[in-house]
This record gives sequence, structure tokens and C-alpha cells, in this order.
Amino acid sequence: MASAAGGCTGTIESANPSNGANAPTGTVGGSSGRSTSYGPAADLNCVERSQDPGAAALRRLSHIEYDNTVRDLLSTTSKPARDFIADGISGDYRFRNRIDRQLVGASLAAQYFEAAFALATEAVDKRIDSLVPCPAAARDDACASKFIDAFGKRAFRRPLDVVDKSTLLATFLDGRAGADFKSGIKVVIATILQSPQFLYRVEVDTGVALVSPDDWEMASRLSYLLWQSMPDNELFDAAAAGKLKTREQISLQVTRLTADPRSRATVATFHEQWLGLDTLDRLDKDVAAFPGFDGEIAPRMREEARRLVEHVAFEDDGRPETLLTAPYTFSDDKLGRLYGLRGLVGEGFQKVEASAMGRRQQAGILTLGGVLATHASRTQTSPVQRGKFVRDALLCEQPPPPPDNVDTTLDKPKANETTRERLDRHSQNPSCRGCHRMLDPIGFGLENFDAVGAWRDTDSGAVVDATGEIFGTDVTGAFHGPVELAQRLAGSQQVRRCMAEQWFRFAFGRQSTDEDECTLRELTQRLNTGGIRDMFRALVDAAPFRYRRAGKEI
Amino acid sequence: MNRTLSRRCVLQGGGAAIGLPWLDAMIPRCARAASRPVRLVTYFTANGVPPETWYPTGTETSFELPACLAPLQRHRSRMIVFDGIANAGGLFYDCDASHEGGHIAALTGFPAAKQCSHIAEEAQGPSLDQAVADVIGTGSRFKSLQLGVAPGASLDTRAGAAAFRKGQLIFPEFSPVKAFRLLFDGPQAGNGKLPTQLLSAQRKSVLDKVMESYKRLQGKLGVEDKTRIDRHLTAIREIEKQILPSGTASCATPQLPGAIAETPETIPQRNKQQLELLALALACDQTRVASYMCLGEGSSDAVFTWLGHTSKHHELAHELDTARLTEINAWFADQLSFFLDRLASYPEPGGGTLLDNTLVLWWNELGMGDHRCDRFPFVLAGGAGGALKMGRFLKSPPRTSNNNLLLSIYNMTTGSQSRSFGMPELCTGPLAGL
Repeated sequence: MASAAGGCTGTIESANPSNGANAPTGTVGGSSGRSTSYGPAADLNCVERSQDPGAAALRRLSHIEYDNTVRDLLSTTSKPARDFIADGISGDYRFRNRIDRQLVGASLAAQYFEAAFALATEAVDKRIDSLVPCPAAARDDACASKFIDAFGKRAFRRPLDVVDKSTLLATFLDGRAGADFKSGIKVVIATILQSPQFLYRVEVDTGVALVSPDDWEMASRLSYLLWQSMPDNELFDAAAAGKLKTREQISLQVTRLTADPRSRATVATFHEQWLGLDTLDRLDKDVAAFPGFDGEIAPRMREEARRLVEHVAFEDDGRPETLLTAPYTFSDDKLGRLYGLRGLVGEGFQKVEASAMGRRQQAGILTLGGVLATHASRTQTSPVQRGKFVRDALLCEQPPPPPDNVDTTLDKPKANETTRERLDRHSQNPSCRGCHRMLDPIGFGLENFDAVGAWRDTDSGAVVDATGEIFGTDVTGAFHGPVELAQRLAGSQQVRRCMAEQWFRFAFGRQSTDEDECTLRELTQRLNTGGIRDMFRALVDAAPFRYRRAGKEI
Repeated sequence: MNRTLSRRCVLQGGGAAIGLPWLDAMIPRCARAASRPVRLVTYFTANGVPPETWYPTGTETSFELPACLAPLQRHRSRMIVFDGIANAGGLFYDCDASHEGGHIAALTGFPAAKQCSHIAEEAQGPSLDQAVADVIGTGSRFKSLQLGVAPGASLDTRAGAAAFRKGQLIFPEFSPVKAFRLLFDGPQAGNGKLPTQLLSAQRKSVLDKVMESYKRLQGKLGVEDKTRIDRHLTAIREIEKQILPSGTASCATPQLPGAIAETPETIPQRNKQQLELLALALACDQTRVASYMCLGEGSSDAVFTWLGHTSKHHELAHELDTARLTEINAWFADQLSFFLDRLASYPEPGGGTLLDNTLVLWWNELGMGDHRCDRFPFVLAGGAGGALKMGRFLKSPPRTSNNNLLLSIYNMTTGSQSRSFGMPELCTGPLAGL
């Protein structure tokens, strides 16, 4: 189909990509600029084609993974990575784990350093007895050696090699010199927590073009995909016994890992980053215009999203279309007052059905307060941002930015002018129309939600007109209001494929490329048949999870 | 620049009564005064300027500061106001700059890698401060330092980048409390149990072992992974200097600044805290090159409520609302003036004040709010170690390349005699008349 990247100078049907000096190009679909067509090339044979897993790449622990890993490794409750300099998101890549953006500069290196010493000090001061494998009376070099073996294996997620071992022993002796045993252990921990084997998921090339990860690497692949954390003892035992090789062996572990609450937390993280809600706490709204949106609302909106997503995925049918159309949400009394919900009983969050929502319409993730408030301005709604969210997050298209020579500030609202009327000027300006035709009419369907996500029947005194239209997709057509918009999107194969793409990115730290076409098709298929709760298994079955290609010249 | 050692090199941290009591405790002392070069600070504010209330009229030495710059009146004799300089990189593709394109080009001297780019990651070379830091930054604890103020707790989008290297954005620390910890309570702080000397020996040992492990890994990796690990290793080498006693200067540990809610309304208070910390960091020789982001590109969508405004700076800039834009730029000037006062309050070893030996470059991502960048509002302030004749309004021929100015500053602060800065095609030599 014609791509949405046709610059902002024409209409979409006649899109003529970036031929003008002022026509910036957007990217559409994967990084390769593959077209948005959701039906892959018909002649691609995924049965006979050898699956390309993509190059091996060193992945650094994301900040969430860092905090989870030190929690599981050191039994600490502190979360130092919350204060680390954030890993940015970029363009239409919505997750904070993109491998080629995981660079460590001096700020982060200093934060790793500080955190390593703080964690090591806390562990040694508070938990030395459970940390080292010998009683207080027998804390000698032999004890330190045993500690280094056992702790080092868990921290590096594989047995130490001879050089690692001797380096850490030397570190211990340096740290003990002039001080004591505890001091030596502390220094060992501080060293380990800054080592590449800890901070990165090291998978060293063996010089073979296409390889399966070894058992230890597989243990980490499983635990970080499903738990965002290090392997537990059972996974380590399975790796040591060479029992992470066959499909059956791995499947057994997936069953076990998905039964753990940590895998639900991972599903929540995926959705939070996908929907752009991890910055919700920083949202700045005009207090005078929205007195209900005080400092306590944003955390509640995150909670609403987490509960809705988990309910759809695990309690309801888990289907992707339900994620888009679920006629219920979760709220407590405080959030409910902002939304105008009725019949909430007692404290805490509870499921709220459509019948208790008054005039408010509910359609899954599309009508989450967090999504609506994030994609709006400080004082007003923004059909542009909401439309862009749908294009970007749900259809995996990235509209190009406005041309540089266009003033993107809207005129001052005239008296009694609705947001829709203001934006209608876009359709009169030929240099805006091409792109905004793709964005604004989608956002218009959500105009009944104000800038903080509360329901409204009127805008500037006029009854809200929530009619909208989607162009250039497999569900092109007119609709009215959020529910019909959600139903349209729920019927779209492109949306399903985009969801699969988002899971791909979350799991593998990169956008898909043409080489991943068969993987992506398979993931889309599995999402259609098995729903969200089958996604971990589908990702574990995927080529980029099972294999890697040597990245080194061989 | 020949300095004598002063045994009693006590810097007074107090003095300005600005309702920040924690600063009274910040009395840095110099352990040993080494010869110090001119310090360079870049000071960023966004959205261009209203030309009619920004550019002076008059001659090179006889001119009045218009309303935007009036708050700097007391520093007039140590300022150069420029007119006629263009953001050449921003103009390179014959399209007016985007916020991002202007942001990339202004101090790197390179246009963005792609035509009319919106991707700041496409910086093609180091910004002036980073190039200078490579030469003069190695002697201090931080090779360069980036601080700033944001509407909220941080700005991790590219709009907040304070400095660039090829393909890389460098973000400032936006939190005064965290900046304080980094500067005065960071990795070097002891835990009170072990003698400091032993503690720093331990820390050095840890870093040595950590660096060894990165070096060992390098040989086992593919090309791209190796590049990333190389960068990480370089970053560790950089912090090594921060962790180990520098031997040149140290600061008495001041108290933690009072935490202020990180909301848009508190920008003015947090801005002052940060500017205080920056002056102190320079006074203590924690760094010799710094970048300050007074809000990010586009002013990070901030509304200047403390000036009684209800619209975003970005929107006012597009509307060319001269009256309000003048108020905003006068506020930026007032903040800069405050910073210059702080620099002037620290005596330098060997005489004079820190301000005498500092050069501040005030820069912007655009020339005007309508994205024009052929007339760029650069201002220099400070004594520059006597290397520049200050107190001037310097008019260059229209559309003179900013690269010429960058080259002049680079050569002056590093003692180099380079012939070009940034993209060679956009640089014709040091700025005439400077």
C-alpha cells in the first residue's frame, strides 16, 4: 500500500516519497523501512527457508532488569537503577532496551560504581551470615574462595573461568589487606557488580556461523525474557545438568516460569512501555483547568493499566482484540471520581463494568486514563497525538515529523471553537493535509475524553462530535466514538501484526528486519490463536531466541 | 596566567542572600592551587529571541543593552553581544532550522547528518565544549560537567541534550540533589570506618580489576559489541579520576541542598540551586568545562507562570509575541547575571576572581521563534583570562558562519591554532574583529 511516509506535502493516495527538498521521510514498519503491508510477500516459504536469528549482540541489563537482578542476587529491597540516567526511547521504538542505544557514558558508569559499593556494603553489613558459606569462626581464604565460586556463578550466570576466579581472589586479598574479611568480600561484590559478565548478557562467539546458545546462556535467555531477572536455582541446576537443550526441556521451564508472579510483572512492563505509560508520573496538567488531576492520579492510572492488562491476559480470554475492546476497567474511589464512575464499594481497586460508568464509554487500552492523558496537551485534548499514538503503537507506522518550514503551533482558539474545529484547518492547508488526514480523524473519535482522560459531553459549549475515520489500513472506514474505533482496530490484521512486532522488540531489543519475516509471521499467528498468554512460549520458540549468528568476522 | 601558590586559598561560599541556607556551608578550600586555564561554560536558552528587544543599536563600544539584555547591565563591561552571525549548519540544506537541527548545528558546527533532520543523534562532531574539554578538561575531576533545569525531574528526550559528540547526546543532571551528590558526596565520599587513604586504595583496586575484565572481554567480541564495550571502558577510565583524590583541589563537603518539588512552578528556585552548584564546581576545580541547559530545546514546553504567563514559551515564540518573549529573555539574562555574580564572588588563587578567568557562551537553538536561524543571538560573558577585549557590540557581515566564532573560542581556550572548526566548508577562519 502507499506508505504513510509520503512526506507531508501530498495526499496519501498520491504519496510520492520524499522527492521535495522539504519532505522528511518517516520510517514505516521495521528498521529496514519495509512497507506497512501486513500481508507478507506471498512467495516467502517459511517452511523451507532457513531461519535467520539475526546477529549475536551483547545486551546490557535494562534498568528494570538490573534492579530485579540485584534483588534476586543479594536479597536487597533497594532499587538503585530507579535513579540511573534513563535509557531513552527513540522514534517509534517504544521500549527502553534497544541494544544499539545501550551505551554507557561516564554518568552511568559512575552510577554503576556507586550502586555497586552501596549494595556491597549493605549486603556485607546486614547479611554476611547468609552470604558466605562458613561460620564466623572459619572465615579464611578457603571460605572466600568458596564464596567467590558460588556467588560468582550466580552473578555471572555461569561458572567462573580460571582467570575470573584468580582475579576475584586477588581482589579479595587487596580488599582484606589492612582491613578485615568482610571488607575483602565487600570489594569482591563491588567488583562483580561492575563486571561485564554481570552488567551484560555475555554470549561469546564460538566461531560457528549459526549456533544454539549453551545451557547457561539459555538459562539467562529464559529468565530475562520471562522474569526480567537472573535465573533461579532450578534453572541453574538444569543448565549444570545440560537439560536446557531440547524443545521439551525448554518447554518444561517455560511452564514453570510462567506460573511465577514475576512473569506477570513482565507482561505489565511490556504494556506499560508499549503504551508510553512509564513516564506518566511526570505528566504536567493545568491544575486550574483540571483540579481533579492532582499528584495522586498518575500512579492510579498506572495501576489501572496494569490491572486491566493483567486481567485481559490471564483472567479473561487473553485475546488481542479483547485488549482493545474490553468493556470494563479497574479503579478505586479516587480515580473513579475523576472518571465519574458509580457504585465503587470500599477502598482499593476493583473491576468496574460498563453499566457502572454512566455515559463514559470503555474500550480496553484505548480508553485507559493514562493513555488518554499522556496523549494530550497540558490544557486541551490532542487528536493529533492520539491519532499518532494509534498509528505508531498499534499500527507500527511512524508518520514523518512536520516539515521544518511549517508552523506547528495552532492558532489561538477562537471563542467557542472546539478542538475539532481548530484542527479542521489542517485539512485546508495542503502542506498539512497529507499527514494529518492519517492522524486527526482517528483522534476525533476520542474527543469525548478530555486532556486528563475524564469523560465530557461538550467541548467549548458544543456537543462533542466523535465521528472519525481511518485511512490506509485494512480496516479503512468511518466510525463513531471510542467503541467503534476499538472494534475496527480489533478487526485489523495489521494491528495484530504490529502487536507481534512490539513483542518482538521487547524480547529481542531491536526492530525486526526483512530477515525476521518468518518469525514475525509465526508470532502473529500465535497471537491470533493462543492470545497474549501464549506470547512467551511463541517468543521462546522463535529463531532469534533459539539461535544466534556469529557477530564476529569468521 | 603565571600563578603563585597561595597557602590560604579560602574561597567564600556565602554572600548572596538568596534564601538558600544550605549554600552557606559551602566553603570550598583549595588544597593546592595549580595554574588554571580559562574555564568555559555554555549556557543554553531556547526558542530564539525577539530581535527588536535583543540586538543593541549603536557602535562597537557605545551601545545600550536593550530590554532583553538589560538585566546584564552590571556585567556590560565584560560582555560581547554579537549580531550578524548565522547558524550555518542549520542553514546548510537551504531550509530553516528545526529546533533539533539548530540544536545540533549551533555548537558542533556541523549540519545534522540528514537533510532537515529531526534526529539529534545524528550530530556529526563534538560540540565546542566537548572539543575544548578534550584539551583542557583532563586536569580536573570531571572532564566536563553538564547541569540544567527541566520542568520536571528530568528530560531524557533529545531535547535535553547539553552537549554532543559524533552520534552521541550528552544529557545534563537536572536534579540539584543528585548534582550535589555527584559533586560533593559522590564515589569519593568515605564511609567513616576506614581511613580515607585505605578506602581510595580499595576503590582503585576495584576499578583496576573491573577494567581488566572489560579488556579481557574485548577480544572475544564481534565488531559492534566491541565498540560498545570500548565505550564503556572509556567511561570507566573517566570516572577513575573522579574516584581517586585528584591532588589538585578539594572542597569541604557542604550540606545537601534542600529538596524542592520537581514541578514546573519551581523552575526558578531549582535553576538558582543548579547555577550555584555549577559556580561552586568551577571554583573547586571539579571541572573546567561545563554546559548548562536552562530548560531544553523548545523550552521543554514550559509555561513561565512566574512571569504571569499562561502560554508555553514555544507557542509564544511562534506567535512572535514580542512583549512576552522579551520578559522571558530578560529572565534568562537575569539568571545568567546571577551566575556571573556567583563566579565573581570566588577569588582565584593568585588574584582576581573566578569570573575573570571564565568565558560563558550564551547560545540558542534558533535565531527567532519562527525557526529562522540566519541571525543568531550569541553572547559572550566573563573575563576570559584577559584574552578578549570585552564590553563590545560586535556586528559581523550578515550570515557570518557561527563556525568562525566557535573556532575563535576553541583556539583561545585551548591555546591552539586550528584553522577550522566544525564542517570545513562552513568555516572561513577565526571571527574577524574578535
